[in-house]
Amino acid sequence: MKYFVLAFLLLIYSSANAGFFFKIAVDNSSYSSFILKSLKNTEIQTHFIIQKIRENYFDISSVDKNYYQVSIERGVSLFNKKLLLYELNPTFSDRFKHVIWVTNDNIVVRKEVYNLNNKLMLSYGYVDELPKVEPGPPPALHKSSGCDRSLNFRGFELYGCKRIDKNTKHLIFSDGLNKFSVFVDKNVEVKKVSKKVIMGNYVYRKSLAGHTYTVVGSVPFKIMKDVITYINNKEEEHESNE
Amino acid sequence: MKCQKYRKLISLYVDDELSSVYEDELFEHLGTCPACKTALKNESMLKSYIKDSYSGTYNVDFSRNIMSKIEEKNKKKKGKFKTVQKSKMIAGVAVVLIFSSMITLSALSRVDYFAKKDNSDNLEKFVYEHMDKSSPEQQRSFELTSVNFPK
Repeated sequence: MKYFVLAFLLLIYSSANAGFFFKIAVDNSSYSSFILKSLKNTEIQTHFIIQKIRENYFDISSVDKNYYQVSIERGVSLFNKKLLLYELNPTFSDRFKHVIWVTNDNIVVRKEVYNLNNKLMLSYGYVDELPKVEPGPPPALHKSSGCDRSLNFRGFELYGCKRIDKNTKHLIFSDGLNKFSVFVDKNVEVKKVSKKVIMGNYVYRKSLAGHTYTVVGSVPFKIMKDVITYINNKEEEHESNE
Repeated sequence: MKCQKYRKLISLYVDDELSSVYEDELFEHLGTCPACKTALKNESMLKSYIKDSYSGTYNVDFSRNIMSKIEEKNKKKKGKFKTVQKSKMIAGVAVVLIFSSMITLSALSRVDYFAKKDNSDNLEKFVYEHMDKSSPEQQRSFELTSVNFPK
């Protein structure tokens, strides 16, 4: 695989002007790295996955300072531009660390995400120059009107909810920086608890009270376990009220 | 330690650089090691993704081909069974399948994501497929739908 990636990188360097690199923890033990020459074609699977994970903008005001210790380094030079370097360390051991290089327009030039053991989960950024990116609003998730706005777990608010099918729903929680999805499958049970690293995310699955919960995101397994209990209690509360 | 050796062989195999001697050894190991099987699937899937970003087509069959190859190897091992025993087994499996499909009919579309007899949890499949489902187009409708939580 490594030879393939090397050949791939050489190919890109020989043909591309501005590239975008991506390094991701594919599983518990291995990483994959690649460089793309363009991010425009979202029809293509690789680009599509990167579009899903990558964030174009970062606004420090969206981060709750109760949960992060923020350090800012100004005037960091990259691609002949002066950038801001943010290091956001979790105050408690309940979410991942982010290191982000941004322009004055809040455009993300480079980003790294680390787990609590300081292991790199994913990083991405421009390779050799910063292309012209239109400044715009940060791609913040807008709170859904149909979701229960009271759901708030350690600063993670419910930002989106969707019913996938009759028995399954998908909830998205975010604290403005770290995010996780919870998939609730009704009336399905798994015997064992699963914990894995998949594509730069922690994934935790557990059954509780006859339902199966799968949590995917950038929080430790312990928090995933606690959030399952939290949602399950809310569900039971809701059912007893009906 | 044993798996570490096979992870290297997996990397070579995905790059088409593995000799047939090692290939047989690797596939024998994959038949008994779900972790390495998953690693191979991930590596081949990633290679497909990377390849496709330049070929312009998305070929999901690459990893599927490998998985069917593993199954083929496993089948060869089981070739010691007599034909009569095989047909009995097939009949038995068919009966079990009919009953289990009746029971699980309501959850048929979701059941393959969860634990199976071989102890695999299919989490990789779950994550990859749900990544697809939450495409930017679908995300727009995401925020308009509701979930039965208390207001």
